[in-house]
Amino acid sequence: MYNLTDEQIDFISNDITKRGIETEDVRDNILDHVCCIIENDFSEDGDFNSFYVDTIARFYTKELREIEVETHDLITFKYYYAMKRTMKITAGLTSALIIAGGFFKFQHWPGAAVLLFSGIILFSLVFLPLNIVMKYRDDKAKENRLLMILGFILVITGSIGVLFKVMHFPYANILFYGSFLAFFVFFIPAYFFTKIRVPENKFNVIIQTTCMIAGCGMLFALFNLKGSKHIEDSVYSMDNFQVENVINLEIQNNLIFQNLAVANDPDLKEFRSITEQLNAQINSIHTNLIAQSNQISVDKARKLTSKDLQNPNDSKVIAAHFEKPLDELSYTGLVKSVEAYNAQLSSFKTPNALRLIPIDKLQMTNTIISVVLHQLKDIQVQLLSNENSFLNAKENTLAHVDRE
Amino acid sequence: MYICVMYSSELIKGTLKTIVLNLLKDHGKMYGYEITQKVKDLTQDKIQITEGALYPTLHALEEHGDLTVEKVYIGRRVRKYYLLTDQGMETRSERVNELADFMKTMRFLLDLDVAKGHV
Repeated sequence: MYNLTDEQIDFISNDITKRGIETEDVRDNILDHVCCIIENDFSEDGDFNSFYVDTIARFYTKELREIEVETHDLITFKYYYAMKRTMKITAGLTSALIIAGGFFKFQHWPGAAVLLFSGIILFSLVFLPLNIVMKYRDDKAKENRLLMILGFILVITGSIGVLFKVMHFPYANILFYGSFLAFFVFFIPAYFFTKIRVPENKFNVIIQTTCMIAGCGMLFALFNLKGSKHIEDSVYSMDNFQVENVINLEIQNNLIFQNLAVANDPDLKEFRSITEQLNAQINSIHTNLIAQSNQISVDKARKLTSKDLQNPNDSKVIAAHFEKPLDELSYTGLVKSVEAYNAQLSSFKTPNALRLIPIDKLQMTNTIISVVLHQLKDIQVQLLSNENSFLNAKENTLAHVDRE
Repeated sequence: MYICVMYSSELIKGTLKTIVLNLLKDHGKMYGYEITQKVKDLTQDKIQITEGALYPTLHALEEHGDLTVEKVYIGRRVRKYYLLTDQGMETRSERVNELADFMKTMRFLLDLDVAKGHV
């Protein structure tokens, strides 16, 4: 039996380290093993260096580091079976939650958001990442791993985008359309050109790529879906109709008021004043919302209507410039003024009862700009109708006095 | 990962853990070199375990809790003796039973009669 010197042991230990073995436990094992082989098989008159090189070569196919990599892989994936089980459970749970959530949302039942939210979170943050880890372990080819990681990450961000869209969270469109675009522009071509090179995959790759392109196309058509042109036109006609009503009432009321001006009636002046005040406030709110939504100056927005909105479905402008503030141009300011107007109406005595404006019956918050603009016009119509009734009644009374 | 003098690596792939666990059950604590030599002796050189396969397996079994380690310092080097834990004992019986059952099934499937010496 050959006795190794301390220098020889140090030499072997250093060489093992140089060959890329960094883990102490693995290094100790290899060192002891090499020493055992040398002690048992090396003869005193042999060449130590060449014997060592032949011995260490038995440990690997290409390089010694393989042992460390293999050890690392085995230890890293020690939870492989637990992960596989978790993946199966989350697959079932995710499907159940998303289907149930979708059905609840369709039926407008409570709990839809909770189901969808937990389903998509589980899908994108547990199921898909687990898939990445599992596939990464199974597929050793570098380009396949990169492709697979890119694909899964895009699906994760895309599904979080869908979740944000469903939950009306900010940045939903960026997340969804960004992932969608990257999937279409980068992933599909990369997938096609990487996989098509393997002859036995050719047929399957063509089918899968076609399905992905078709799927993307259909999804794109679906997400860009708006109401038909006819419906859009009908909504604008409804709005124009109301705008014209307001203008006609204003013209008519002005004429009557001018006719009655000679009578110098204090009631008439006061009624005119409270109506004009509220009417002006409503016009200012209308203009301000259009200006904020289209991001233009108030002067430019003054003559614009719903039809000129760049985003008729803008809900952010309502939240930021109508719901949150407390000034004259806010919802709170409007309610306050309408309530004050309603309170003043009772002090005017007319044969035709004047109608209070039931602002509490209108849902003007948590909605989109085109709805609020239309509701403002509705309030104006009622306001001017009241003035019209009052003026007509006054006209009749004054005419009666004249005749007497 | 095996050097198989007689058998193809496909044939005995997946049995390394079973071999190691069973050896440790029969011989108490062993170190890496000793395991390779024991397998070589017991199988009369028909199966030779390579170091490249043995050590990752030993580390993985240790990490799973099937094996425990005792370190002995021999001069300037450390020798790691591996021992079966209680969990390792259970894993061993499961693995051995599974393999025995598999061999029985294969014998039936391939219509081999050991007694008549057809193997």
